[in-house]
Amino acid sequence: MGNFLSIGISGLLASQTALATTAHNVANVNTPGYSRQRADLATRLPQPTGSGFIGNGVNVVNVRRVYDQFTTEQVRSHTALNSRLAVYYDLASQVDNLLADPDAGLAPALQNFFDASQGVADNPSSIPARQVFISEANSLVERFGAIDQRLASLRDSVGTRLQDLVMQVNSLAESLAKVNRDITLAGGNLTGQPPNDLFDRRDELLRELSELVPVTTLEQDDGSINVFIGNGQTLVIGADARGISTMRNPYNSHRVEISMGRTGSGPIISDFITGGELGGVLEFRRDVLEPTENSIGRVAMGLAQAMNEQHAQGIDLNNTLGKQFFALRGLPGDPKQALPASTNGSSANISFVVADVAALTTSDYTVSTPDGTNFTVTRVSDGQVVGSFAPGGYPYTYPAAPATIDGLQLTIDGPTAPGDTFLVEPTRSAASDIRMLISNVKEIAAAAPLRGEQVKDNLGNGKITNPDVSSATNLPGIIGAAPVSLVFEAATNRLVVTGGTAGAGNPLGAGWIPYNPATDSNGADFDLGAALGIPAYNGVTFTVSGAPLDGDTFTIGKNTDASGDNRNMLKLAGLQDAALLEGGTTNLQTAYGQTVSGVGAKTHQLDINSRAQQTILDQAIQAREEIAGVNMDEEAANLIRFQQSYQAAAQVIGAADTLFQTLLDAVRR
Amino acid sequence: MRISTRQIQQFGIDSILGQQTKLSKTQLQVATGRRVLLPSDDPVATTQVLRLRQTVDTTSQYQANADAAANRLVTEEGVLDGVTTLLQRVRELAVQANNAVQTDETRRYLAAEVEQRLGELVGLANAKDGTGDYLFSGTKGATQPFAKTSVGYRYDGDQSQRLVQIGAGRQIPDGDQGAEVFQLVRNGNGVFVTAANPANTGTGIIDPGHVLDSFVPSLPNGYSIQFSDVGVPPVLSYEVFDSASNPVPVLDPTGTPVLGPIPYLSGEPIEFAGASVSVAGQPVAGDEFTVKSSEYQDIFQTLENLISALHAPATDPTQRAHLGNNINRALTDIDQAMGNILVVRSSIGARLNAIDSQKYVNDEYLLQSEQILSSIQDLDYAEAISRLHLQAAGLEASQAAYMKVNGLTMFNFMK
Repeated sequence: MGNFLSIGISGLLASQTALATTAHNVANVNTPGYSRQRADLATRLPQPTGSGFIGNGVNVVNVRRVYDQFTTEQVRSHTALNSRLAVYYDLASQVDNLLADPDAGLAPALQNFFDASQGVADNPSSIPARQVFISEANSLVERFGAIDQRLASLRDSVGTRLQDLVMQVNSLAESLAKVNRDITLAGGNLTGQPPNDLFDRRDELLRELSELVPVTTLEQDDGSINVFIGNGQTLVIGADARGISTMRNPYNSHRVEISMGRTGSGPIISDFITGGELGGVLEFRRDVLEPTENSIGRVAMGLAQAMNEQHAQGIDLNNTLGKQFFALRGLPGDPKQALPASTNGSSANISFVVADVAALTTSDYTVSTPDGTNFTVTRVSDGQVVGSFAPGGYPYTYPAAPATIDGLQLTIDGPTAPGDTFLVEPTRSAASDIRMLISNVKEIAAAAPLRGEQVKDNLGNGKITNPDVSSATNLPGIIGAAPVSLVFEAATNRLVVTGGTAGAGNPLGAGWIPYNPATDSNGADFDLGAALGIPAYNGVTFTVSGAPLDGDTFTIGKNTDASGDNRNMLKLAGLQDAALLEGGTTNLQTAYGQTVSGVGAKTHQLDINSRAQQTILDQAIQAREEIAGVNMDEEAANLIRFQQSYQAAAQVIGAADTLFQTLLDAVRR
Repeated sequence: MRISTRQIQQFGIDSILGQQTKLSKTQLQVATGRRVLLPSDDPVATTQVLRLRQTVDTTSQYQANADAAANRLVTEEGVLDGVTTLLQRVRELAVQANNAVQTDETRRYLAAEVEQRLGELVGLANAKDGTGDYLFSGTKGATQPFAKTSVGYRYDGDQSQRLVQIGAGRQIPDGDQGAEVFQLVRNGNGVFVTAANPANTGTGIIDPGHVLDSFVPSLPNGYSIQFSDVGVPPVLSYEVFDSASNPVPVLDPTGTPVLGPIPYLSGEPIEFAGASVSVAGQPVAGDEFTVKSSEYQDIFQTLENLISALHAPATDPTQRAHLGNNINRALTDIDQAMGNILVVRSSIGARLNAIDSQKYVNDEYLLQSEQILSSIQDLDYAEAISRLHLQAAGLEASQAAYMKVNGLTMFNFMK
């Protein structure tokens, strides 16, 4: 009889527990990371009697969560991949948007600039046309600045975002450490009765952490787990949250890096973090933001270098040679400083100039010396060693002109200490550094510096073209000297050269150029310097044609007062289509177009990958939910089921009571 | 399979959000009329668009350049047309002056008109274009090209031609420098120039002559045809000497070179050193005619020469012969000048034609580029609108499905 009652009570209690578990499930239907729980029931040990084993009722063995380690870890790792792609895509599309705007991009500004240069070429003496050219050049410089400004604000927001993310990671790490301690205190796995909700809580914390940074975990015997990030750096050990922190890049104090530990001085692990929001932000900075800044900087560098070089080969309305058109650090004659690492043991500096813009890449370079005497130059983009040298004395320039490494020439100003490193960013800030140097319309050198003329009294019909020049180097000497005369000597078929003074002690006079009207009358090309062997006149090229008669004279002299000459302006306008970059294969607009389409392609790819990853993540979540998720209809059914079993168990107690009363009544009689 | 309640809701919401994103993108495409909104939508198309925009803009600039060049050439052509008319008038006057009925006085009237024409010619040569630059000063646009000095007309411009870019790799000169047009004109018949010695006393008149095969110049003073009486009875004969006073063989009527004096016959060709000239009238012994290499003589000087010839008195036969020689000389020089102007004008015409055909090419190119640009970046509205409808319907369906599915729960029945 008592047995009968206790069986009923065991059923009642078991149903209560099952009902409580169902209620718990219903209550937590929307709790993130919650795994549905089940009360596991088992029969009590039966009572052996002579007539066999008699059941003793039910026991709740344990309350367990319906959980699958594999699916949970799947969700975690796909979360890290997904949030990396989502953040990366989000940031890259900001650059994409910036470059897409047809009015705010660089392309229209470049186009207007070159259109205005054509305007000056059409009408070189027109002051309004020159004014338009200067304003368009200013707009172009401002546009470079504006694009860089917006990229810079992205750079700043990347820094801020990294700091936020690090704070979030640390806060999650602390929570994990605390949950670890709670789990250990609750006995962990040791008692056989798992603290389900704490486990769920920890799994959810790990999932949240995976959104920020990919993690690997190692479970300990006491039920706590150790959490690692990057390639094995410890974030949490048991109840101890080690954490991470931000610190400044040793070269560039504006670049935020991630380091181990809370002190901000641990080893830098930025390059090891390859997933999660943290990884996405770092990857964006490394693979989109900085290359874009470099590419646009390279366009600025190419424009400034080519414009300056060509402008110096012209003559302006003041009859002086063209001045520098743009100012930009890093152009020849205006060296730019490399960034020394903050850990350097010496105060030596490295400066560099871009000597050959066509060879320039969009990469950065590191210069390092393990022993203070031997240096290696490494291209950051692909890790290739592109040069190595040992300075013989200081200042030391490497490589010797005219050779360059990827267009660069480095100069070390003094002795270095072993282990010193330097970072060379050839084009990073060029877009913000470029400045316009010409403000006076008269200073636009639209005309060519030299003119060739036949003397009016010539008897023959020989003609000379206007001389072309290919370099500005010798021009000041040439236009400062007396005009060069070429007098035809019929007896010897020579053009005898007189006049001009090509530098000290090198006057023209004894020289002559062969010209035979019988064979050359269709035009013979000459390089004055090469023909005479006088380097100061190298690159002055012209064509003589026709049949001059004895004594006929041609002159080459400074192109004074040629306000209507547009020869140099045509060359400046021609820079639009000139293949200035990528080893002479790419013009400025194409280079910019490649940057735009590069970012576009990257963003496009991220968009697709991000969507694919979202689908994979959804599937992983679904797989986990299939096992661990709460289904309300199921719980409703369980509710009914356990309610009924509770009612039935109560009926058993009622029956036992009735039986007992029956017995008592019988005894009372 | 088992499905959790949260999943059911999440599916519904995800589906609605996805449909909304698509719908909003289509809406933006329809609103802007552009198929490619961001470089990431179609990176390849973006590069093409950038390149084609550059092509369109640059080609439009070439068209503007071509218009500017054409305007300047048309202005120049107008001025040179005036010069041609002027030279024709001067030629008429010269022919008129050569007429025997003219007296010294009437010739002075003619001279006065030529002087007027000369002034007009200088004005034309110093003409300006629409932007206030001198047309004929080469690239020294602000410098007046021609100025009169004590020794003739000086050219202050330069010898450069300005090139204008009218197409990719196509440059064309938008003018001609003044020296080429007005100054670098060969005098005489273009190869050599004949003249009578001013000291001649006979009435011989030499014609401008022509080149037989190739003229062999004798520098620096040219050939001289000297008349003398030879033999008894004296026969008026001539002999040709070169610059160094050496006798030069003259071709006789059979074409055989002959050295030594040749009897003179009025109007008979005198052929030597690749030149053929003839002397008409009656020279006397001691008279001399010269045949020199042509030199450059500017058109102003040609007119000045004519004026001074017209001012010279011509009352006796000798003076008349001088007048005839001078006017002959002036006529050939004017013809040379007109020929030179004609060469320049035909070159202008050729350039205008070239500009026209280049503009046609540019237009075609522009049209093609714009068509390609449009096909790459512009939206196919018909397709986009039907897509918009489809997506709107999809969104509505998702919303309806969400409401329907989420209304289903067993708790509804547990009352």
